[in-house]
Amino acid sequence: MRSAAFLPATAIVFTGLFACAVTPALAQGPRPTSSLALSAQQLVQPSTLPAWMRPAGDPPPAASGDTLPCPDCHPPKRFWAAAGELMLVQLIPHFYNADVRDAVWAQVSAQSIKNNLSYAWQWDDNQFVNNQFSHPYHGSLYFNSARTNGYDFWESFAWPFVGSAMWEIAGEAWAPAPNDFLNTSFGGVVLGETLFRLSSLALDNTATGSERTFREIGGFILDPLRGFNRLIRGETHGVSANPPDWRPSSIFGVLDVGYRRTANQFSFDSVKTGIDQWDLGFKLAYGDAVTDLQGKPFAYFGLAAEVAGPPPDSARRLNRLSARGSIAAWPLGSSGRHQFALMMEYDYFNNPAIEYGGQSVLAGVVSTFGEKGKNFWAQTNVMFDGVIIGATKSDYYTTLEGRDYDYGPGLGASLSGSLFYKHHLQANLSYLGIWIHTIDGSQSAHYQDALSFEARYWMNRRLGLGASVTRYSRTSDYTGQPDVAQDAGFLRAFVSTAIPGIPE
Amino acid sequence: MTRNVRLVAAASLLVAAAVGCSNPSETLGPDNNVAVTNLVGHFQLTADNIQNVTTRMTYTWQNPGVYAAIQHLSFMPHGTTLLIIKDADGNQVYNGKLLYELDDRTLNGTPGEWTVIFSLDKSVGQIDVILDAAYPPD
Repeated sequence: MRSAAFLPATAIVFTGLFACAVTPALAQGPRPTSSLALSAQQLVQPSTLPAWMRPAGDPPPAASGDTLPCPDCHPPKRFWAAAGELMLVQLIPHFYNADVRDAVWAQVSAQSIKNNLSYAWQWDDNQFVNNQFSHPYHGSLYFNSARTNGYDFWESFAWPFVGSAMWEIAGEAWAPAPNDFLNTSFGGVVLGETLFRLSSLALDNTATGSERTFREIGGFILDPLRGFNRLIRGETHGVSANPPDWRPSSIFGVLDVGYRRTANQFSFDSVKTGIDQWDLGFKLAYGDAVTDLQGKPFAYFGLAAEVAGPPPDSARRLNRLSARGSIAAWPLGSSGRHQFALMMEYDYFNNPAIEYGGQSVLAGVVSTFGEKGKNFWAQTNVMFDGVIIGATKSDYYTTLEGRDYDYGPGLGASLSGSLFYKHHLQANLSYLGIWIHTIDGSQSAHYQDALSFEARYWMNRRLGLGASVTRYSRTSDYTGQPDVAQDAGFLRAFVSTAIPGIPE
Repeated sequence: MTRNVRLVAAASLLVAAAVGCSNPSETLGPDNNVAVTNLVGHFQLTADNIQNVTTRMTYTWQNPGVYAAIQHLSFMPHGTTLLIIKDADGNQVYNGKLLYELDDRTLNGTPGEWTVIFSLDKSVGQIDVILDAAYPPD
């Protein structure tokens, strides 16, 4: 899809809205059994949660004595509604471009479909934000056309692949593009399930009045197809129970507001000057990063988003959006502290120094040490990163359409460790190294790595101060052109708010 | 091989034969409505209904300017369609794909008799390219 420039704004809305919609859900004071309030202790001790808040796998509310009906606990599979919404998601942009904008590329005919089936696919040259954000977001709509009509994660998995193939072949007259297909489908799965679960977090079937209204609006913006379905099925009002898997076993979000300096080299002298920007970052750990890995897909996911300004151009307001969700896991040993895990990841980095986006599958060992909520707790990840498709800044491949990056698959490693000490000190150390072999763009291979250290001091459960330093480097080996080495450093200082609060 | 698998295989072959294996290259003809406006300092070529065409079209154009401003209004979704421009000394000042709704320019060259070449290789779509003489700002 070539014309989805309206979508980047969604990411900005996404972060802000989550804070608006979910904060009250998790940070309010005590409420009756049917309330959304989660204390920090409840967050780390799922057994203390009200029945309907317990993680997936626990008996549903009806079975535990809750008298409220729970129509969302086992929703019927609505294939024709899902297929209709998949088509709707395609037809709205198609007809807008074909009939309102009269765009020649949207004039689809039997001949254009035949051409798209006959000729070779072509990598497209659109701008980074279009290909690496707008397409995956559109894919999330395909995914949620099924997910919000009664299908589970795996049953919804194929829908963005089918939807993307339909669009590439019959939604536009441009040649089908492999990068569009891969980004839309794999990215659509990751963003789709992430947004579906976030919207579940915002929704509350037991709420009434203005709170219910705000929750429904929040759920709608996070997952528009779900909001549409709830609206037309009359589910936006009336009281019923919430399905248990609408709430994770634990949740920990951090909103950082502060300042960032980006330097084009990583040294003490070079960071004296650089690009100064305000910076708004949001990180979320949904579910328990160890115990939930063996649960349903995305029972655990991590989300990171960052906006900064003033942006060098409008396409760079969204600096980062990453989501990594669990797929499956197997215990290592009998302690329960180490697991071999499979995950899927969506990455979008677009700041003054880094342009990288990709779809990945990760496999590796996740471990935990100490006890969450006690004096010492730590978690480590040692993951192998298989990049299905990665877009990396190119120094030589530039097009009039705005593409300035190379495409290719790759391999990498993602290592990270997080530490909580005595309820006050939080530290994160992470390393990401990726090798991308270009198959479209300049003849090249790109090696990128980023080493980051971040620390926060929590003055109380909700408020903290922090700083981070990141060193990024890229070495690009080109055939027929001089090689390029790029170095960058990021310094951040921020005030942090924990949502709903740090684990006690 | 089960009966169903054989049926699917046979159907796939038929579909492939219908859509994928029958693409004889053609040349531009009356159906393509080729129109050329070739004036001093201004050149435009349009053609439509292009379907799997492989050909090369060469025009001579009087460009009094130092370079040419290019308006790309073409839509060529398949094949490879190149615009090649040479200045009065025969030096190549432009070589690029035909694009959709984008502006570009040639390198600076020697004013005079320029050569404009359209190279189509299994091309599909419609061509609309405008060249205008241009001068560097003072």
